[in-house]
Amino acid sequence: MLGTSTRKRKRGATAVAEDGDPVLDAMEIFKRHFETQFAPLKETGKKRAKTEAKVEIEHEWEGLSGDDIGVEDERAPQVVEFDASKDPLAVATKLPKSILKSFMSSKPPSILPSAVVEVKVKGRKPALDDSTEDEDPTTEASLLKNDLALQRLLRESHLLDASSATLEATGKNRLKALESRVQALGGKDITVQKHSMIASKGMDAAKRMKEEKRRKHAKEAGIVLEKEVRVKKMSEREKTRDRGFGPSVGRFKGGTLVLSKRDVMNIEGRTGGGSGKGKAKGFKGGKGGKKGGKKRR
Amino acid sequence: MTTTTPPLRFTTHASLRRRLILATLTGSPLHISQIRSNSLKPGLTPYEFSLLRLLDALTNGSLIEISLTGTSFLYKPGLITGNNGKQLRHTLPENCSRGVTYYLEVLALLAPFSKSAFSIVLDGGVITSATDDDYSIDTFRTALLPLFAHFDISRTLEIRILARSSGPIGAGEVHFIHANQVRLPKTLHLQTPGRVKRIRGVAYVTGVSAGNNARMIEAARGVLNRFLADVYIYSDVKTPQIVPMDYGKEGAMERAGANQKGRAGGRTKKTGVGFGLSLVAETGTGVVYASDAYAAPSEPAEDVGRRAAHALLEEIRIGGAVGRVGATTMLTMMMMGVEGDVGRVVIGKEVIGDEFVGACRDLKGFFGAEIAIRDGDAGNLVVTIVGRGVGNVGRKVA
Repeated sequence: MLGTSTRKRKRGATAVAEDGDPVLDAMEIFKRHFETQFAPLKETGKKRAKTEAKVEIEHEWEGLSGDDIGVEDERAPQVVEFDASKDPLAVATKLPKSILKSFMSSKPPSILPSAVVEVKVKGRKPALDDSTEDEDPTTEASLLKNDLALQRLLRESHLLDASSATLEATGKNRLKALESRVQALGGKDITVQKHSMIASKGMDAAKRMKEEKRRKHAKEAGIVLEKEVRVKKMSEREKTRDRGFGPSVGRFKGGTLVLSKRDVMNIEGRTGGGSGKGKAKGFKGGKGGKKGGKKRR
Repeated sequence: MTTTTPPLRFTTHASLRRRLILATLTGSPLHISQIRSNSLKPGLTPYEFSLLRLLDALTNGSLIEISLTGTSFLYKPGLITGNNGKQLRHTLPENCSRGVTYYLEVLALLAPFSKSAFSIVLDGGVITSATDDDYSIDTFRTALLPLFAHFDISRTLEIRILARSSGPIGAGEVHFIHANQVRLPKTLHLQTPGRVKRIRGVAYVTGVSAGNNARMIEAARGVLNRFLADVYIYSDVKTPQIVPMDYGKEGAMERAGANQKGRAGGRTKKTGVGFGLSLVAETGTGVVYASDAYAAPSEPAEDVGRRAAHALLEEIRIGGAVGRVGATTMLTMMMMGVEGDVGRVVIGKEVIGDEFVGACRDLKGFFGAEIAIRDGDAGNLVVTIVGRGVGNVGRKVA
């Protein structure tokens, strides 16, 4: 079957070759084109050309020969079986579920190159980071780390004594350092001892007296001390001040907006009153009356 | 201050939306006349009225004076406040012929320059699929919103599709959240388009067989897989909306009243039935190209998929660092940038069309600055824009 088919094809090929060698011409054109694009062809190309030439000659002579069949087999169309399911390009790439989800979420997908890289090397990244951090002192992270360590050292340097070889406080001082760190983070000072009210009052008073005495001595000696920090006492008025929202005009009381005559006049744009003392008094009375009237309702 | 400046005057309804956006961003008054003055239905269309209403709701102190016939109006923009961060529900007209992205693009451009966060629910005649004039909401989410990441605007940006709906008469619902307000957007330098690394997409159906999705995806992959292995298209299947029988005519929902939920006594119909495909190609440098295809009546799903894929290939061929979808958005954001800072973006030659030239002219009108374009590598153009530093008036410090 195969033999017959090749024979048939060959016959066709010979016929074409005898007509005017378009096959050969095409090959020659391809070869020339290739040579102009790249380097001139060596052995194989020439050999092939030669064999082809030979074939052609043979064809001119008689057509069929044993040698011929081999060449023709080489030139026979190559059968490629295409299976779409096995095509590497067509096979759907299995993506991790997190990526799939992130694309279909309500947020716009992140497309900036940095984000993409981050996702891709997620598995290996931590290990890489650790190794580089120890070796390379110029990275941003390590610089920051060193900076923080230096600041901490400066803050706690008073707890270090000459005998300690390391830069870390030990024993009692270590606990003190820990305590200071807790306080710096907003923790409560647990070193403060608890006393009874009477005792602490006395202590406070003693403290104040001591301070006063110091200031007095300094004043007499003409020494300039730091400014005294006085705890401001809240006035009675401030304590009872009405906070929150109130009406810009009048007073809001018992679910009703109470307007004084003065308020009404202000709204209406009239100016009156406030000139004489007697009149002012009259206003007060009027206001009281109005207020009463509203309350009764 | 604004009362003394004379309004910018334009005629016809062409690029009305862009002019409204630019007027709102720059705070300059706008007067448009001869709106469809020769048409049988003169004046503003319902969807344009709705846009004006939306702008009015989002700003504080806006003044809109519309003439009796609706063929001309004066718009004095106020401060973009975004309803003080409270949720705002905006109902589009039922017969709205534009896709919801018509409104979303406005929101996306105004939101970064708002005083407080945007949280807007759009309902009524919302069409989430692509239409003749607008791209789909999936393209908006996956291709337009990521552009803002180049300006450092990507935090708390969300678009929730509460109900999908296709054209021509939609009834979807969309929630847009934007809480990343800035003083000034970052200066953009986007000069390397890069090579397409992956293609993603969303195939959506509403009210028709989910098999259409599979067929669209198959066809689109058939085209795209010859060039790239990393093609992944998601499938989204949603039910259509049930609406009163006369939905789409003026005031149908009011007439149905309380009866509009459920079956409304049998006098209902399904609306927003259809399917479509949105494709997005991403390059290694974060550049996005997008395309959309939507099924015409009785069009087979394979054709839709193939159409979308071919449109995407066309976009990739045009190239540049910003696709046609986001080009004008990009220009506007660059104009808003830091004063005196020069931003550059590379675009493909074929991006320049009516839309682009019109946008450049409008930008010149509103910002008073021109855009420089010169030849770049690989047949692309480099667009250079000097920022005007308009920024966010509501946020002096940010």
